[in-house]
Amino acid sequence: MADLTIALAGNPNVGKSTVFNALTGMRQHVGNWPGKTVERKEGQLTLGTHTATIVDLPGTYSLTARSLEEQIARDFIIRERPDAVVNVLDVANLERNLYLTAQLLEMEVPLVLVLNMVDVADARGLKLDQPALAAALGVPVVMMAASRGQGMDELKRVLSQLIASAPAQARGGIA
Amino acid sequence: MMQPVQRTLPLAMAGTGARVRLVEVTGNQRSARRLAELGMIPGSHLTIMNDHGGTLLIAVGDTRLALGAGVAHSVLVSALD
Repeated sequence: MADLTIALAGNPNVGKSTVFNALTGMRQHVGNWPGKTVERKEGQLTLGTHTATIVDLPGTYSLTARSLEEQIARDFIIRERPDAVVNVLDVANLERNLYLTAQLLEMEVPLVLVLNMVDVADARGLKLDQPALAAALGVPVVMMAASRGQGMDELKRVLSQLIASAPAQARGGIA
Repeated sequence: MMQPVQRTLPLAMAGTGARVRLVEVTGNQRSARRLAELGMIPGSHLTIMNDHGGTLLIAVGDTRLALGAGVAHSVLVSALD
């Protein structure tokens, strides 16, 4: 079946790589972004009949492209037009994390939010209104404690749905 | 809109251990924007972890940020405690 590309985006230290590892397991490939000394990690994930390539983008606070990492993340999303972007957020620092989310929403890429570290938020007594957030932003929201493996199956289910509902959209992006 | 008068001081002068509220980022709006991306928006609470003569290590939520003296002087804050 057609290959899909799914990018993982988010602030530094939100658990992107934990999510990445959980999704791809041992099927990983580590290299560098062309011409840059920034690590590029890719892995494979099977979603039903599809095989998706998961790309772990560098941690970034915005897409304004001030640092090399931010430039790489932005260029990837704009130029390579992934079939879905999984935005991983640290719920314990939700406000700051949503800054990047707002920028991703403006780019109109198929987006899934992963609210990671719900266990940490729980321990601090933070209460999250997941349906309200999903309704306000108009994107699927998955609660997750990636370090404990909680929410992974839900994420895979949501990704399968997203891909099934938006098949073979204009791919290739801007040359 | 009139706001109640509050005493502000540059973040660089608040001193180690101070807990402050960010009031305004003066000067270069490019750096104001950058600070906003990092979670430093007006109203956010900051703690100064360390002060090396104006160069600061601050905590915003769970995140530690290092600020140069120049930027630290452009951030106006008010004391929390």
